[in-house]
Amino acid sequence: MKAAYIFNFSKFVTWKQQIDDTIVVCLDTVNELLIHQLKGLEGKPVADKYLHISKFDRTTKEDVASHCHILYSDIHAESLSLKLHRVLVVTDSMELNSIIAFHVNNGKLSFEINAGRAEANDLHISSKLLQLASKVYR
Amino acid sequence: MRKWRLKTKLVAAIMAINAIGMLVIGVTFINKNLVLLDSRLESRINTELDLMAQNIGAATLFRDKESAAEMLATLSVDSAIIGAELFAVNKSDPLAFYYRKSKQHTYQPVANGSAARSGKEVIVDGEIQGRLDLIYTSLEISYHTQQLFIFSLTVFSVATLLVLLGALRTQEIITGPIIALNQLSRRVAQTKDYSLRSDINKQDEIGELSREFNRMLKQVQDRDTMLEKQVQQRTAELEKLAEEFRHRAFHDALTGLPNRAFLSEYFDTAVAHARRNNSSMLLMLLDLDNFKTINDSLGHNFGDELLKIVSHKLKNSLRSNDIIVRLGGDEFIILIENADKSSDSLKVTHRLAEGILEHVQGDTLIYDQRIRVTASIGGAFFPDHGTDLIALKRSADIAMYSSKNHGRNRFSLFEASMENTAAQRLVIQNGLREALLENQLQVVYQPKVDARQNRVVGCEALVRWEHPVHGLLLPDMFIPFAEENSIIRNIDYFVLETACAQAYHWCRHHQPLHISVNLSPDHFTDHKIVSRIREVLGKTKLSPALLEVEITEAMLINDADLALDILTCIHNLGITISLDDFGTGYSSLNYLRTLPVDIVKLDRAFIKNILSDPHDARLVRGVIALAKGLELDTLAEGVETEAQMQHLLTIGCSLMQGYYYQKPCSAKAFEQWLLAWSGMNLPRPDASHILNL
Repeated sequence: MKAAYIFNFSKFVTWKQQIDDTIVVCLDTVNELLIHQLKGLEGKPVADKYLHISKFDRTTKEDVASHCHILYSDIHAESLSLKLHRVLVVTDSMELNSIIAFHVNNGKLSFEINAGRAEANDLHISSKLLQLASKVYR
Repeated sequence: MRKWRLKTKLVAAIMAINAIGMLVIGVTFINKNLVLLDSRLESRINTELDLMAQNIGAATLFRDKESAAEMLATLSVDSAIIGAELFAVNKSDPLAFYYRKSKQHTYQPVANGSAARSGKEVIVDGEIQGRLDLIYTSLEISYHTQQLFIFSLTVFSVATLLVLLGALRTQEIITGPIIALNQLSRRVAQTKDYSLRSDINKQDEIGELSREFNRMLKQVQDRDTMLEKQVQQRTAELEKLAEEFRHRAFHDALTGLPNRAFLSEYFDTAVAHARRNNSSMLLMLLDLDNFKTINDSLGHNFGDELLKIVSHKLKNSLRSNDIIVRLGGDEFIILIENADKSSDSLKVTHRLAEGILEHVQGDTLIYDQRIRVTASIGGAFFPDHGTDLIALKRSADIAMYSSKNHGRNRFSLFEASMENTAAQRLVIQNGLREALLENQLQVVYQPKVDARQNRVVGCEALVRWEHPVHGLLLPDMFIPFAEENSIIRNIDYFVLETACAQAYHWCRHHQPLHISVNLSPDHFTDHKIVSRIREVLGKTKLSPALLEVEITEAMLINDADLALDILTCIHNLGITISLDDFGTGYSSLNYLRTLPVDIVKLDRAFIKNILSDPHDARLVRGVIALAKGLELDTLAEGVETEAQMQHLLTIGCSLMQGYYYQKPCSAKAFEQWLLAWSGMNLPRPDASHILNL
């Protein structure tokens, strides 16, 4: 379910910086099911671009922003002292760096959006997505 | 609708045109609006569908039912939308839906025609994520239409009201004058008052009509006045004419005297008056003597002139309150009211009548011809001799006849005995035909003597009637009535045949004797008498030389030329013609020259006074001289004495007839007389012969 969400999020987010033709989704998780599910979406078109799923290796400490457009992390993202500028950070709970955070409400998966941070990260989130969010932070 | 007043028609027409116009506009307007509303609703629904399909994309993508439902609920702002259903791809159950909850718009899946469904795919990022259906109703259009209709109706009503007011005003302007004219013409028709005028003074056609109407009225009025004048004039003329006719109806055209009709009317009044006053009334019937002869011999113009003069004389002879009426012909009636019939007054009456006769008689000069006129009058008293006009006139008529019979030129008052005579006359007239059939007629003979030679030259055959009741009747008593009936011809034929047979008998057995027969003027209207004489001569074998025919001047009455021709024919048979009663009529001596006459018979009236009246003696002498000049013989009738005979001989008339010799007698008596006379009187030698010796 989360995989679909993540994929769908890509459709309602606009990056201010120029993106070539690939939206890179970086996964910072050990959840193999999720990885597998997302991997299934590899190469799927999003608007005029294609989706690319990439495994994020914390250890490499590489600059996320340099190649990731969406970063999913279920491992305390705030611990990621990364330069996350221009990156849509999706986490399982609202943390310091989170822009979209999943949470389960009455057994139903929903999400919260930190619109303020998204703005700060030069991301534009469609109002349609904002409408769907169970909570929006400004 | 045809009976509507002009006013109603005009208003109705305006209202109808207005209604049609507004209806067309209204229908067009509403229809246009409907189309517009329809397209507007559709485009709005489509816009909303588009918007919602776009907005709801995310919710669909994330299968967010709550959000989707919330979003769909926002459609409630549009009252037309009664429902919305959002389906995920390949899902038949809606992911989210919205149905309007209201009494008016309860959603029903199967809409009753007013609901429609419009759907659109929900596309996110080029991928179809689901489908959105909107269910909407067009009830708002009906509602709007209704509103529009109400509005239109209001506008229509207001407009109609305004138009009605306008139309009423308009018709007043247009029909007002027409109605006024109409009322005027009706008033004119009812009252016949052509002096009425229309006071409409407009410059349009109505004004023109009104002026024409006025002109027409004036013409009618003028004509009326003219006609009235004409009628008055005509009435006056007619009254004059009627007066003239009345006068003409009651007056005689020739003499101007009142006529029979007047008498009939007046008599009743006079009788009523006489009855009231218990007085008598004298009716006199006046008849001119010999008028018929005058009229026949001198012409009708002469007769008319004579009647005029006599009328004038009669009028002058009467008192102003006596009435004179011309009955016709030469008959006049004089009505004298308040006449007293006591013996003294009878003298007065006679004097009065004689006065009238004196006035009438005397010589009168007409057309340079002197004529002696006399009249006979019969009188009868009301009520003694008749109580009504017919009876009274009849009595007067009888009296008048009596006057005629007693020598004319006299007055006779009716007496009861006269009536017998009159009755006899009727009996005679009716009995003549029977007399002929039953041989009641006899022929008698009177000798004609040549006194100079003392010789019987012939005899005149005369007729007698042996009446079974009244005895022997002389010709004077029945011949005039026979002449009225034309039965005279048969009587003359009878005498002719009998006399001829007798003459032949005498010729054979005694001596040849001239026999003369009288012919009535009635024979001289056709040639029948000529053939009849020839027949009789043939039958009796008598020589025409022994036959003599005696005629009177009256034969020339009808057609003188024809009569002359007939007489010439008779004369040509070798028969002697003698002119009877010469000197009594008004014929001129000229006849003696023109008629084929051989002998002139001097009337007994002249012979009667020949010795006492020098005037008559002179006249007889003149006639004899004249006849001699014309080489005609003369015969004197009615010779009764020897003195007369001698006198006639001295003045040159030798042929004689009369009682001096022998009265008319039967053939047998005549034979005896002839024998006796011949024995006594040998033919005397001619006197002239003696004188010559």
